[in-house]
Amino acid sequence: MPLQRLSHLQALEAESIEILREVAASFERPVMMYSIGKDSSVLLHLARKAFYPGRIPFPLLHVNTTFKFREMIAFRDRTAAEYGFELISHTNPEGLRDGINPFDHGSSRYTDIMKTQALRQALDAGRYDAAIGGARRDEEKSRAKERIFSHRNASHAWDPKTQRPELWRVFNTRLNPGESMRVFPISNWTELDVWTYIHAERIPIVPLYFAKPRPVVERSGTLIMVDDERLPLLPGETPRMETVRFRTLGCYPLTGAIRSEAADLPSIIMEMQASRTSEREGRLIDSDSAGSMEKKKQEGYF
Amino acid sequence: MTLPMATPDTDLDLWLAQQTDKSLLRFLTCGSVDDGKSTLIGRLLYDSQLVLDDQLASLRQESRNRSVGEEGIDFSLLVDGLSAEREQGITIDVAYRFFSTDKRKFIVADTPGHEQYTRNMATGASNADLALVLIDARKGVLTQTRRHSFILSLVGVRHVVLVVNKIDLVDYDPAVFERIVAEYRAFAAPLGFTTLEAIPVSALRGDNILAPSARTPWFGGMPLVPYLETIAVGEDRVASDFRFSVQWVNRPDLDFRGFSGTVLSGEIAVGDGVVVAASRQPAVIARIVTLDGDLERAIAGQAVTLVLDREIDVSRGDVLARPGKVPEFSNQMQARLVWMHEEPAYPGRSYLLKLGAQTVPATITDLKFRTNVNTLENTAATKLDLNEVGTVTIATDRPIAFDPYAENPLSGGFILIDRLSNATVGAGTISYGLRRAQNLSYQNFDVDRSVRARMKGQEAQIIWFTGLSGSGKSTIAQPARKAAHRRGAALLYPRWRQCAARAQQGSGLYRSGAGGKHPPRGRSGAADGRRRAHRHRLVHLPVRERAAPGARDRRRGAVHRGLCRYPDGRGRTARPQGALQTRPGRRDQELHRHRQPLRGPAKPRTRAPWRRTRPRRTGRHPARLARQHLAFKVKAVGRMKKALLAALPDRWGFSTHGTAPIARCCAPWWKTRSARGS
Repeated sequence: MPLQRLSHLQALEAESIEILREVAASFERPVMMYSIGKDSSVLLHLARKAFYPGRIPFPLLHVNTTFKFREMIAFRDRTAAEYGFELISHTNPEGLRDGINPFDHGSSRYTDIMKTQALRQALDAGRYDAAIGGARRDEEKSRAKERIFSHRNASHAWDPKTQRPELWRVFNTRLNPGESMRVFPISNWTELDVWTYIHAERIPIVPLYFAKPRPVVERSGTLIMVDDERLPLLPGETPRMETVRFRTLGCYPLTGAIRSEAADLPSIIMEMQASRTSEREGRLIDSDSAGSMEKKKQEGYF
Repeated sequence: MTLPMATPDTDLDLWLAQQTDKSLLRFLTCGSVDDGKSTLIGRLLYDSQLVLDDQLASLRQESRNRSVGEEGIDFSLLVDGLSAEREQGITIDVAYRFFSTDKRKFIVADTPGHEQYTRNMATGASNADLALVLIDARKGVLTQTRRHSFILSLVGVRHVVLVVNKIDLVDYDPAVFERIVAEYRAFAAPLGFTTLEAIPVSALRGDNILAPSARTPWFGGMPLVPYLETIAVGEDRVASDFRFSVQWVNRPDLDFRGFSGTVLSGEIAVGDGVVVAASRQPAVIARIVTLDGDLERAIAGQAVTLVLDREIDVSRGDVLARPGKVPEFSNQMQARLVWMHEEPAYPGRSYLLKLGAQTVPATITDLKFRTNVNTLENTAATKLDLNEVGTVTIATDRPIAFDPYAENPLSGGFILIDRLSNATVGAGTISYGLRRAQNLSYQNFDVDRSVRARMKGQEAQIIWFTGLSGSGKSTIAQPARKAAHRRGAALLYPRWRQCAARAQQGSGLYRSGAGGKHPPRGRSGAADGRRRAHRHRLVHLPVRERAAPGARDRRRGAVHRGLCRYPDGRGRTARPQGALQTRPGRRDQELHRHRQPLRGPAKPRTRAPWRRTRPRRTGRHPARLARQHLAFKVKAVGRMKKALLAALPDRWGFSTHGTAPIARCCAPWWKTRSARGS
């Protein structure tokens, strides 16, 4: 029987592809944020679909905090080699010089310097007028309010009170000099959509999402993976092997693992359906205050 | 009570297949302030077990000092995400929420109730299939309820559920419910919603949300969630006419040229014929390309890349349709406009109009009336303020392809963008195109332009000379024609009525202006359509400085009437066009008035009329008039020459060494070769 209507995943996919094409067609220098996580993998897959058989017409930008999981970096390089896209990796040189790390300087200062500032540096350096990100509206409350084409002023700040109305699928892509746009093609996806899409499309993701015995230490209820020797061990702390996986990936000292046996996609999806905590719980930077994400976004965090 | 959520069972693949195959319903909640929109959504999320333990814990903490239901939670906190919203306890911007049941996935837009955020409400409504209009049972139908309902009808939401909330606070009184429903139905009747269902609920207590409430035995209808699960809203977009909006020309190498975009409506298969809406050039679909392999057929909503069987001119913004079922293609249209900016909309202002992938400069030519959103009455207006709705006519700088919004929302809705600030200032829905000669259609002849061009060994070009009458169009056209003729190119210089016919002959040089010859643009549908058949180059001459001071002044009927004709069409409405068609004498008089010096309204006489006064310097003295006109013309012709040289094709020879013939005729005023922009 011929296809008569699109399923919700097909509809979401088509919507995202349309958005990606709109970015490529309307901006001078777009760039895609590539965080190596599952959302980035989906975004990359969508971009390949959007411009096939052509190449992805914009570079991918990875803000490297130097504290990413090693497996993530390996995956990133492997993916870049396989698909042949242009990859730009940026690390805040001042942060690198001062040896900024989450242990001595605290997570919020570290995030500000190595992520927010680094991102702004990279965007300014490349004179990018549009940055495509993999944020979803179901992740967090202030994200639920953000437009798909989210306007940023010259200092990369988001003003929630003057967001442009966004009607139908007509996106206002016009900018004044110095301003930029953040674009979120998978705004309307949920975590479950992302996982079922990865499953349906067989999209490769970082193996850290699958359960495996890994060396971890437990700190105030969070399991931190000992990815390299830079993690200072507290007195009496010894890494022990546990079968864990990650629901979300970032910098290893700031990302909590969960105990899990789910080693393939169906069991991850099943486990997710049964779970009773939200995805970003594993992220230590959101829990400071209720409006913390909104504040970070106003400062230019993705 | 919880929603019957699907749980992964033994047959995981089946469950996953179910997950991916669910249908999607986008709806929004709207209504006045404090009607409990956010609370209702919070309730839906909570009941569908989407509020997770860590969120719940932080919610309980934040819900202290707030009005809470049996669960000890202020549900609105789940959705109000911005700090300002939490502080003020209101919703400012649209929040998108997601939940799903066994049967459907839902994307909910929670929209603000406050009047000043109506534009955000329109944002939420534009993508929704259905709307929940909330009403506080204690307050009944309010202004904001009416405003929102009107905007819903404006952006084409066709299904409405009237949710009479806080029914617990009126002791579940059926009379209150009936009264509100009757009042709303009476108001909404002219808005033409396809379905309108009313449900009494209490979002805080959960009555009639998932299951019929025991406290409202008098209510015989379906509870909210089962109703949302079952209502059929998807208009059959696949069954309507095929429209494909080209977003991106995909050209990775010389062998592949595909047109990427989204099928807005209808369906298309390999081998089907299509035409470009703008040029009416036909082609056949050769391939439908996706990363997952070529498709045989694509339906509404799919984002694909189409490859055509022949090389035709298609670029971003073009719309593909089936032959005989093409969208309207016009540069004038009537539309309903919601204004979304603090700076009001005035007729005559120029904006950028974006519709699909087409962006064109556009002018609001006429504000027909403003619609009072409370009473739905139409009243005359001179401007549209923030959040007001009006019916306008719009003229775009070049024709665009569109459908009436009622027929196809995706090709009938547009936004207006401020040209300076780039803010989105308004959103409109096209009612219909304004076009003369709708019944004329283009005939494809076998002996076409290219054949004739080959025969004559030349290529057809149209040059349009445009500008105010007397600005020197003929002065330029005459020597240009001579020059071309000397090179063996046939240059025709007919009146506008002959344009279309002569263009078929081969080459053409056309002049059009006001003095006795109608400018093809915006006047005649016939000339309009035919002209499109050729590549045309515009020599566009903004002659405006003489009218500008008066135009800014805009004193009614005094200074600038009929004088200022900006390139974007402003000022044109000041002339009585109907009369011009039939009374050429009057027309010429009107059109040439700009040659006379500008004068303000007559000053009241201060002296006694019998006393001899000094003769007033009116500027009407023939010598002075002639001097002024001459200076004016020289300036204008100089600019036109520059523009013309830039526009003419190289092979005509003008650009490299051919300035002399044109220059010679006006030589006394020009430095012959310096104007070449070198």
